[in-house]
Amino acid sequence: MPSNYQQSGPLTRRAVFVALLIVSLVLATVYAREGDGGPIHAAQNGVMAVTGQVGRVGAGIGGGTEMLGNVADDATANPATLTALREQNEELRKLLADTDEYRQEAERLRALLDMKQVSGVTGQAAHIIGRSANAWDQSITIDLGSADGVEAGMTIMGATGVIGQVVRTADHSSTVRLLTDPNSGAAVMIQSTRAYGIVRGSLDGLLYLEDIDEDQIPQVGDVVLTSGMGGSYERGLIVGAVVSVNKTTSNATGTIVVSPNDDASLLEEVIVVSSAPDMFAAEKAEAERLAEEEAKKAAEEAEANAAIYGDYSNSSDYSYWSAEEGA
Amino acid sequence: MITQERIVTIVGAVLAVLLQIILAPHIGLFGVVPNIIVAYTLVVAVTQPQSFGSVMPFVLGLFFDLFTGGPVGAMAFSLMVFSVVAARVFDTMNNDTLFMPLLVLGVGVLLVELSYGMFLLLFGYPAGLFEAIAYRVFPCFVYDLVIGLLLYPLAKRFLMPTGVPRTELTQLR
Repeated sequence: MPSNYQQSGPLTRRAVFVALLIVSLVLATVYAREGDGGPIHAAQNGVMAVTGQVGRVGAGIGGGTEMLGNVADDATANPATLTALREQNEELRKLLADTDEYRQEAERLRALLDMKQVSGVTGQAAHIIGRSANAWDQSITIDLGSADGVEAGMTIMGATGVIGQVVRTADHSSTVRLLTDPNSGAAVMIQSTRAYGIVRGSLDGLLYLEDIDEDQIPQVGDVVLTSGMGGSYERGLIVGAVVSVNKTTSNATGTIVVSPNDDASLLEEVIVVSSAPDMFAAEKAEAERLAEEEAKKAAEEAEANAAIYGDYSNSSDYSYWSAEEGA
Repeated sequence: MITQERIVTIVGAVLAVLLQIILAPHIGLFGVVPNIIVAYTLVVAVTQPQSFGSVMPFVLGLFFDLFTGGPVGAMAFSLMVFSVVAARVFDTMNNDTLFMPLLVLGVGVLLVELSYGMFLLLFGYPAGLFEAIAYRVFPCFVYDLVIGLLLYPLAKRFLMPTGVPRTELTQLR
């Protein structure tokens, strides 16, 4: 630490500085080249799992310090002023605050339950126990991990829509990359036009709809659903709605901004989606029925053609044609 | 020899890491999370410029890289290089006014954030240079600087080496 250098010579200082410089560059290079299963990534996952638990402890520390503060107040107060009424008042206040907290939590959980019932998704409710400590990374940590059946790639929903995807799991916690992160990309579909595209996050916190056909530009207010293409997100879950479409001369499809249905910064509980109902089942059934009808029609036509041209085709005698032509 | 300043510096570093993990994510504004570790390291650099070495910023930067999931080595490199440079520059240019430490602190924080952003872009972070500077580097610099300004009086109180002040030494010479 600093004082080591106070006693060491400038040469040693420079040597240590250069050595650490090389170490950091080597680490960065190896990190970039190795895969997700590499030793540095593994070490990072280990540290993140531990710090995820520290984040969870943070909430406990908050409650503990509050309690210690109360104890200290009681211990140092003048006995004359500590009347039974004040004590009772304090107790009631605390009880009221606790009740309010439970009521709010119950409301949030009920909203999640309603969402589950309405959308028909199945999954587990999880508490958000941590948020990213890095400004460049939009992620949250939840209190369910691989021991609870959570796997990387699972979709995460808030009370009204998709908010992200699990990217990393530990035994009892998981890291969820939010849709608003620039590294996020969700294959989506416009509900009204059935046009496919990709919703990407950005540093400015907005969601942009990209890779959409020029002739299928959505309108403001169009609902955006996950399409399930590529298998990254469960299919048919609501992402948000189109809030602006700005066409430019340089970009035929313009800039399409999607407002997410849920704001992850306001959430405390989420649902880890294990399966979602196929919301396109009716559409798929209709398409199958039409295809079947087409096939049936084609078969009938072929049969009719066979009946008409069957004699010609069966006939190997050219005298038939000559007779017809002669007639 | 373990001096009191050294112990306080280490305790401060541990606190900075804990605050970064526990507190910083909850005080983010518009998606910008302050970097308490960067602010603390640069405050130490301008309060203990002569004894400031490269091990502490390297270790703190490495911790940051590990627990935030960023490219390992990026913050270690950025924080070490620019905090050591800040300490040397401040040691040379210190004129015992309040302006100089604040200037060095500000420029140091900006360079660390800029360097880290460049590392991320180099590693394939999906954003443009202008976007990265406008939405992350600059807001983070402002937020870190505010934290640094709050920490500076505390650091001056607890981290300043006890003994003959530098001005008096200069006068003696």
